Amino acid sequence: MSSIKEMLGKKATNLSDKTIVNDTLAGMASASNAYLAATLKTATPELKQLFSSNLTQMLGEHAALSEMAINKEWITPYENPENQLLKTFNHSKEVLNSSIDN
Amino acid sequence: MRKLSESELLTLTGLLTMETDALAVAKATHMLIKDSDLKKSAEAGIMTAERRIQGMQQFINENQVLGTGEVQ
Repeated sequence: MSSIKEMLGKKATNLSDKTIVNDTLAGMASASNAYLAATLKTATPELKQLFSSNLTQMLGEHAALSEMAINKEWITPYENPENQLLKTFNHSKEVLNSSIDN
Repeated sequence: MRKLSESELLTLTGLLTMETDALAVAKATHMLIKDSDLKKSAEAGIMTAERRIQGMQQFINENQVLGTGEVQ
């Protein structure tokens, strides 16, 4: 039988929908930055158009996913900042203390 | 179209790599999602990522960026 600590560890390391959304949003933000930089840097109009169109598409997807995450309360951007930090701090402790799944 | 500079080629390479890796991760993560709305959204995201990759492949082919005509 697994101990409470093991159960908590498993809970913290299981990939939840919330974790997947957070990771996806962060990835999209990085990709958008990369497309913006590429759009501004390139001199060839056809390539600029391709990158710009990909950036616009990525921004639209990011906005839709953010809205869903807010509706499901996976992210709470309007909550008191101190509470947001406290929740994140506690979650970071859980993940740090969790054991590695076999 | 003018021939792309080396810097533009490297940027295009970097972005295509980024999209391809992200698509592979999205496809692998898809099966771990439990929420049905998020699952649908992830499927839509996978399809748009595939279209962006196809768009870049088409750009490379149509503009003979690699100089050898159609790239297989």
